[in-house]
Amino acid sequence: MEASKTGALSSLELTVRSARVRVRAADVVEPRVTVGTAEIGADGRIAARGSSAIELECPIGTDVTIGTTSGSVECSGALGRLSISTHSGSVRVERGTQVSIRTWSGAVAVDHADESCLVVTHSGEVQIGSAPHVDVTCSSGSATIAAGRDATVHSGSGAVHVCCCAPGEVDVHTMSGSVVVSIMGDWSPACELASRSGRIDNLLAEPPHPTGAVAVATASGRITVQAE
Amino acid sequence: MSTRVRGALVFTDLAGFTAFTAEHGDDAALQLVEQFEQLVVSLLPSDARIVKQLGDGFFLFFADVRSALAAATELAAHARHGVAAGIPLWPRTGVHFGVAVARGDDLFGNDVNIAARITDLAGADEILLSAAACAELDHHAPFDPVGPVFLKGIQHPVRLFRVAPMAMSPTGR
Repeated sequence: MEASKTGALSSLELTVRSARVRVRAADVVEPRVTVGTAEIGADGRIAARGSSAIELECPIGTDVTIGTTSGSVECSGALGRLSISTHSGSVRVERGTQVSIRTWSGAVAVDHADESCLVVTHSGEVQIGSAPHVDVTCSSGSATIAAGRDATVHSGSGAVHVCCCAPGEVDVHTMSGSVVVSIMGDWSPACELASRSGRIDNLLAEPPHPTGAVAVATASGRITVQAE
Repeated sequence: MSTRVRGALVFTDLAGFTAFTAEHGDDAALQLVEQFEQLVVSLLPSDARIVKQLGDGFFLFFADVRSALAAATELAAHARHGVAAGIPLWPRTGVHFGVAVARGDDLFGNDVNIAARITDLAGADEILLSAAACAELDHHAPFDPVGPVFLKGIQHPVRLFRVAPMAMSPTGR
């Protein structure tokens, strides 16, 4: 755990077996527990005891790590590095610098990651607003990335939709889900699209000088690459 | 009197394998597992062995974490080449260091269960390590902290680390 130059804790680590967790970044100097029975240690570690709900308020930019088994996790405001793991229960993040979420089931929604967003889920639906670098593994849920640049997606059977707002590298692998890659803006990537039995529709004009790259490989899903 | 062994306990399996089997059928799934097995066997150093195979996954034992991590990293790199050739090998790997009880060729124990559960949390092409495994390595190794994680069936949270993508490939991913 680290402290900022002012001496305030710049990172928090919460482990709670089962509880609804809310973390709110706000214009405050020190983190504090606003709901629930928990204490923040000098090292930033939070020991929560048998509460059904834990709510924290912390300074903007605080790094937060949360480990839980069930119950939803909700992070609002602009946080720093976020690492969240849960077995079930939904996860919602408004904003973080580097966001990492691992869950067995339950929906995952991240509005914005300044640097990167990694999501691993077995069955939850994944929705990511904007992030320069995205890495998603989902066994059966669908994945939607609204505004990405570099994106790597591995999906078992869910549909994947990646919307690229800047030239980057998009790499999507699915077993059976359909894949739609939408290109936003005046640029065209080099496309490498492969499907064993699914239909492939590349609706972009072949660029003489491609910027960025889109590679999609799917076993049977339909692939569509289009201008947004 | 049971025999106890101490070393790196590694589980690796294929993300998306269930969907692959449903889509392509049992024969194609068997073929994929055989390709994965060939790859795993080819990368095992002399101090390691396959403890057992479980469907699309392998339980491996290594004498030390360094050698386990090297093999797991190679596995991910080779799998990426396979993906480029159209073979959907998406390995995910969990590494833990601890003690196991031997029964014949098999290994049992809480540390074995922890290693198996770590793998459940890994994404495609990803390697996760427990703090116990990391402690066996150079402290300056490029690991990203995942934090304390509750693993299914394990009483206390286990602190995990992720091998940074830059450490797995010269160009990252």
